[in-house]
Amino acid sequence: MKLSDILKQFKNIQPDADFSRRSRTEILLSPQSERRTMRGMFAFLHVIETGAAVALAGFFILILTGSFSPTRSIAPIQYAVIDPAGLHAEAQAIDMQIQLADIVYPQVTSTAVATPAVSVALTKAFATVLGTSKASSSAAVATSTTDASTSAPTASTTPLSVDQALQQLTQ
Amino acid sequence: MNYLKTIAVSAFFTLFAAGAVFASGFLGMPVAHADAAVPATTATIAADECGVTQADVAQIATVQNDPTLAYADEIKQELAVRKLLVGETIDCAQQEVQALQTSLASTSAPSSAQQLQSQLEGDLNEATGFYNNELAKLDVVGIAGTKQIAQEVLTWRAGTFLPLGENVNNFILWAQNQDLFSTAQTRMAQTQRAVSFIESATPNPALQTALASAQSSFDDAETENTAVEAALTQNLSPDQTLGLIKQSLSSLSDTYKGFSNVSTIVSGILPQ
Repeated sequence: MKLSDILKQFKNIQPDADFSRRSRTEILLSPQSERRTMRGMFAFLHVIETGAAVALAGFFILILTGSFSPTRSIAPIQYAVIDPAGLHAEAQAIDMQIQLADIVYPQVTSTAVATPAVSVALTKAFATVLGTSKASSSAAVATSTTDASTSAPTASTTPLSVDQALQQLTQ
Repeated sequence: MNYLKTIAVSAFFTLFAAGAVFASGFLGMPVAHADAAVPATTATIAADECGVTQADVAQIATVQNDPTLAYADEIKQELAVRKLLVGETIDCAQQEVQALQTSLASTSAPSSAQQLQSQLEGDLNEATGFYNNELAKLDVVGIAGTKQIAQEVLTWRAGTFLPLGENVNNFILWAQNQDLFSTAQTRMAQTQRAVSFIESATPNPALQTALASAQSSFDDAETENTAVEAALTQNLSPDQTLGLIKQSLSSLSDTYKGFSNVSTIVSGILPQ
């Protein structure tokens, strides 16, 4: 038999059936942990890569808009310059301050506002000084007198400014 | 290769975001509002928890005209009512001082004006001391004495306290304005850089004129703002100081009209 014929017969060599089954079982049951670890690592690297990409993108945007302080001088255009909403807000803040300047003085000398609590306190004080019945009756008299003289029903309960009250108390 | 991939993805994100910024800017959607300075809430100066009414003062006449009272009782009761009313009125005046003290203490002033702020705080403390003295006097006076105290307080307020209150208000107003000036200064610097960048590529006389106008108004505003600080330090009349404050704000407002013109021109130059 020639050597070539012998070699051709090698094609027909097959493993023992029992050996094949045992080998397949061992392969299928072998642990796969190493492969899983590698997959997790790749996923982690992928996350890092995406994060780095987003961070770099943010950095470039900051440079372009001039918001990153060291690059302010090299940023070509700053959006604030052409931002009508921002301009309007700042101009409006100035207008509000101008209005505030127009009303600032009347606040200093404005009439003190009488609250119900203070009115009650003063009424109680009068009651202590004058006696309860007299205080209430005299208050009624005072109110009617004032109302009659001023023809303005609310004038008697309108709080006086500090200076108005002092002026009347000098007489 | 991974580095190259990262840079490529970054470039993609950057272009995408920049596109979104441009698109929203030109479509009129505000992307980020500029650091608009919003003035602090106005200080409440008026004393809002006190008050003497006409009816309260009329109690004096009621006592005087009460026929049931003996002369001695009438005098006694009139004195008690007067003391009560003068005391209440001075309490109201003290609340005015406290309101001013609170507003002044919460005002953030530039370092150059802190000495002035301390001086105003000291003046307000003196005002409190004056009122306390007048209240103490009330304990030992008669009817004529209460009238005299009312007159003293009235005269002192006209000559001393009211100008002081106005100066304090002017100071607070001026201190609040400094944030507006700082914001305007930042915007001016940004505008100048943007205009000079555009000018280097495409000269535009209208843009130059608009910027020059804004700069001129801003220079005026700064000069007037400095004059306000000098007026407050030199204790000029409150009306004069307030006039300067209004003038500086008006010039600052003109500056923003200039910025608005620049913004309009720049928007027309940049690609839509």
